[in-house]
Amino acid sequence: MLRKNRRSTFILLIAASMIAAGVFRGEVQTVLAKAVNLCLECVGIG
Amino acid sequence: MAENKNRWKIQAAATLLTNAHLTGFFTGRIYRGKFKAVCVPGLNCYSCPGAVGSCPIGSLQAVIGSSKFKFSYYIVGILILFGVLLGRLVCGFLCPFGWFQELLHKIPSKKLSTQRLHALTWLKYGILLVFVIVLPLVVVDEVGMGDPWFCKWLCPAGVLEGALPLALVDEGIRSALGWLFTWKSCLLIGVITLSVFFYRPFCKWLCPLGAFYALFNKVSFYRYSVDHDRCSQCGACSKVCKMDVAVYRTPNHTECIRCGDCIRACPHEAIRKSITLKGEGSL
Amino acid sequence: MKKLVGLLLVGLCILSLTACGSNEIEMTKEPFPEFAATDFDGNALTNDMFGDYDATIVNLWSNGCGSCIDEMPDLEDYYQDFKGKKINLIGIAISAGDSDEEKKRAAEILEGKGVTYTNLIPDTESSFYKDFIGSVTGYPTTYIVDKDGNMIGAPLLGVIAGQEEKLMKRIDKIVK
Repeated sequence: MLRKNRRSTFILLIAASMIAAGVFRGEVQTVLAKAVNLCLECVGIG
Repeated sequence: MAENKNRWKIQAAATLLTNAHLTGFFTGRIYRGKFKAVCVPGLNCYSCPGAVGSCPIGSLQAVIGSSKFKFSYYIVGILILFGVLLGRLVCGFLCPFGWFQELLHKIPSKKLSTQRLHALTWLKYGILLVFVIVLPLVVVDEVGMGDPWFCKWLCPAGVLEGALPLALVDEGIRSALGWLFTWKSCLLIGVITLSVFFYRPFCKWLCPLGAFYALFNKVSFYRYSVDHDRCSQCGACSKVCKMDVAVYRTPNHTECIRCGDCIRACPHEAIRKSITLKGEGSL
Repeated sequence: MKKLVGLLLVGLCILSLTACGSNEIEMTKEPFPEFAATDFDGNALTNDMFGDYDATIVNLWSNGCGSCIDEMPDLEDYYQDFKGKKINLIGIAISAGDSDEEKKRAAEILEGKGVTYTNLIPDTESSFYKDFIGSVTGYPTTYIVDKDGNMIGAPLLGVIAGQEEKLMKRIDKIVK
């Protein structure tokens, strides 16, 4: 199935690389910090 | 008859799994564990006390708006991963906010067609570009931080899943709600009202996440195909499609949320999924 | 179904109304927990600092919180205004204790926003950090503490702008 979908497989590999690059850059910490501290703006408290 | 009677079960399961931190609804405290480093596929506010993962759109704005990064490989990578695997199947099966609109649509009323309003479907791409990407990137303060423009000003899911459950339980939150909450509540009420009369108006016209996944519908592993030897061009699929897609002509249209109603409606079984639960599908 | 939606809409209306007319929270008194923190110059700080002033405004903020950072100039103004009145304002940079990088980032933010009031870096191993700061609902959160080290009333959630009345009312009550 992977061979038949060359384009999709290629995109899949790009996605995996990007995720790895993001982890390596330390983006996960930024995501986690925002997600675990209540985003008051998101709930309309500004 | 044409509707997939079992889709709601998956939607319910997805909603429950996405918001499995049930104690949060009673304590008014959001989940703070490590799972929140990973995004859920659908639109689910990470300020929801039940949310166990983070919202992809919220996270994207958080990273773009941070002073450290201008782009997020991590979040965009995850979004592309979901997109290339499933495309807008996420919208049809895994998004809690999508399911919410569908439930509202079940309320008996005159149902209006969105076919003539097709131009509005372009709006969501504009929202993705401007509110999720450009504004957080460009409008920064002295220390290089940008606001989450979509979350702050537009997202109704934040009110439904965040503000309401929290305010119900937490006095501090309740007394701190201000004009911003009033504005977003109006948006939520607007979406709720529209959803009764139109099918999934937010998904069609406003959702930046749906807009992103839409770009992958044609290249995702999970996709539809039309067997032209069987298709009689009767149009039964288009008639049943609530997303206004002429399936027999464009089976992987950007507006298709892959609910599968067309597959059931087709009298010749001409529409096939590339991946099925029962045995091999044709690619 | 209809009933549920009707209820939801009514609920929303009620909430919007309560949002506009702010409920004054009961004046409760609870001691502010023991600090375990240093300022950005490395000096250890304790709760004794509350005793030097009639009232202290304690603002909790994090590196990732845009609205916390946006309101810093306003807080600096309050700090300057209150200088002659024996009212202090301090900040707690709750993410500055996570790593050297976060500390550096916090220091950059404070400088960039022109903040001169004292900011604390909590010790991430302490109960102060794990229990007290761990229980904070969201940021920014502002406490008002009297000279005996007691928190007066429930914390103010969100930016101070728009809540000045509440803030001043509390301070007046304490100072009298």
